[in-house]
Amino acid sequence: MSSVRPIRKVLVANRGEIAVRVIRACREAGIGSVAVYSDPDRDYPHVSLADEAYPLGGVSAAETYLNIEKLLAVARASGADAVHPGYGFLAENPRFVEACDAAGLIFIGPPAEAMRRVGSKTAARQTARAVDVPVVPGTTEPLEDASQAARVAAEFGYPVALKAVAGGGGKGMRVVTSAEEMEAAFRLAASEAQAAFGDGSLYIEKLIVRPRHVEIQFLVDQQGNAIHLGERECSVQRRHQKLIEESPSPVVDAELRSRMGEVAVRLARAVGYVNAGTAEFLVDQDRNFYFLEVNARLQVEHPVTEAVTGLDLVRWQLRIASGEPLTIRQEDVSWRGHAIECRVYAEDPDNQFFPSTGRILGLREPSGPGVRVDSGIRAGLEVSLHYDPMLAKLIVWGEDRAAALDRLRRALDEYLLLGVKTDLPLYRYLLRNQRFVQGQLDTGLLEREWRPGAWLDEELAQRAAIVAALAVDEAARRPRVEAHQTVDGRSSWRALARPRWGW
Amino acid sequence: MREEDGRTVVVVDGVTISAELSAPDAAGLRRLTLGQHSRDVLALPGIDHCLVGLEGIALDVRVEDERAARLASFGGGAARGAGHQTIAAPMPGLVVRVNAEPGQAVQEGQSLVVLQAMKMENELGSPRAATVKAVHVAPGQAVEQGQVLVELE
Repeated sequence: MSSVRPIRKVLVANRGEIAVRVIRACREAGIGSVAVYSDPDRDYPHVSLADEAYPLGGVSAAETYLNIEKLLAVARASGADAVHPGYGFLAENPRFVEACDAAGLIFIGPPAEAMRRVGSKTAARQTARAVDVPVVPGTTEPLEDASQAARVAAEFGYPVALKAVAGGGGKGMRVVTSAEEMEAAFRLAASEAQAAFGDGSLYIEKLIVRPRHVEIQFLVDQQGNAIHLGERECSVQRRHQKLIEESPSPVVDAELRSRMGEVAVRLARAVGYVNAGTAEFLVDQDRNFYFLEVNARLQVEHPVTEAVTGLDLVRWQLRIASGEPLTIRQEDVSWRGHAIECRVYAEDPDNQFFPSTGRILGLREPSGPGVRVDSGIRAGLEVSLHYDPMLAKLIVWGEDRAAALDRLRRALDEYLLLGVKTDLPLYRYLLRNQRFVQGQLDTGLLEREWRPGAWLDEELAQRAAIVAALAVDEAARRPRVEAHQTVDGRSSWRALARPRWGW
Repeated sequence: MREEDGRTVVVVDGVTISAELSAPDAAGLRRLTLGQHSRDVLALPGIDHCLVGLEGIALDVRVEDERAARLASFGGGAARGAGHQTIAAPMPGLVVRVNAEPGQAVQEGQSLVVLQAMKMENELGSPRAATVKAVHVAPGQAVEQGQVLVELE
């Protein structure tokens, strides 16, 4: 039995778009909001949006948003009675949860113990196994020899991966596609593992070919009621960083959603989870799903679920943390339409996705029906290397996937941002990619389909060139201070404009 | 791109259309109007380049003022002997038209070669009154950036 402890003031221990998101939910709930900021973030939108703002003094994340002592000091000074960690930073740090508990602050998220249980990948897998949640099939004991490996592989089915028990990074790993290859592969992998880690032991795991990353959102209140809110497909990613997420998943029907959702809820209960969380799975080409891990936080892509369920996840986080029960039962949850989110990172997709820094010189975010932009920036702000480079999220909703894609195309067309490089051109390009448009997604899609500069076509370059020529011409006509320059009355100006990317 | 009757026009695929770019509004947005079509863009001009934001993308576009290009090539040509000058391709492209022949007298600004690049026709005019000494290209020929097209004296 839990008591209701109404939250009055939330310290938002984060920055950028998620801080803005949480502050907005607080304002809507009539709850006070306290923002914190590092020195470079002083003029960022989350600072002026909150009711109160406190400087953390410093630049690096360690000096500021990761500094538990400073954050607790702000909580004391502001009289906050709750803390929302956002995502990243301290969001999945059990010590931070315990520090908040000790300070008498309500942590808006799961209890420290539940966080610990899912924080370790192996511990989470063990829990999953214990409650009959399917995991990627694999052995936990080292293999004796190649023939045992072959026997196990025959059970799982090829292809399989031989992996080193003592380490990772691809060393001591071999993909085996048939029984004939096993002997040689085992020998090679074992000797490589021995050389790299001093231990040639191997284990085996089924290789999921062209997997889809599909995750289930769940909510659990303090009374033990738990519901799932369906799936998000997050297969468009690069080096395990998600770029595009959508709901529903093109391969998940009501029956699969129900099964995966039930599994996610079972897992959440098994670890004693409270508040919002997400269970991640891999889905293979035969639509079998395998548990990967639980993310014990509100996720970046939560707006996609909000769009198709009509539920406000952050508002529910506040309610649950206050001790209020879920008033939605599983049968009350329904899904409507299709939502797609594109993350806008300050990075250069034409140059190995290196982070891009600089001042935002121009900004026009899209809007209109079915378009939501969760932005943490405004024009004139400096984007640095100190923090995660995500600037904003563009979320569109349409009646079905095709309509959502149309809307995404329209919204991207309206999105103008100058000063730093972003992924926006990549998304524009993907909307012309057949596989993406048809929903044939897997975690390798982006690596296969993307090449630097792929987004630039002649017509686009031509229009940009015309704009450039006109703008420079217009600027040149303005009267100059230097006396020796004369401007012809009738200009014989001809501009040769050519596009060059990279600044 | 050139001026015609006080308006600016561009030639796109052989079709001449008017082009206009407004000054930035309070939010920094400008209106680009090409013929009958208009759209909002961002443009931040520098001396010889411009940051352009349109249709969901951003580009840094290098812009060459023909006057500056003439001055530059004039200065470069002086070393070869008084009056001798080469007109080189400022970008890789396709020679569409050659409007000069050896021995021809040309005036300042008179068109010598038309190069097509990025689906735009670029007219290369004579920087001064001169006589065409040699023509090194023919219509339909692809040229590299810096390739000599015409020699003047």
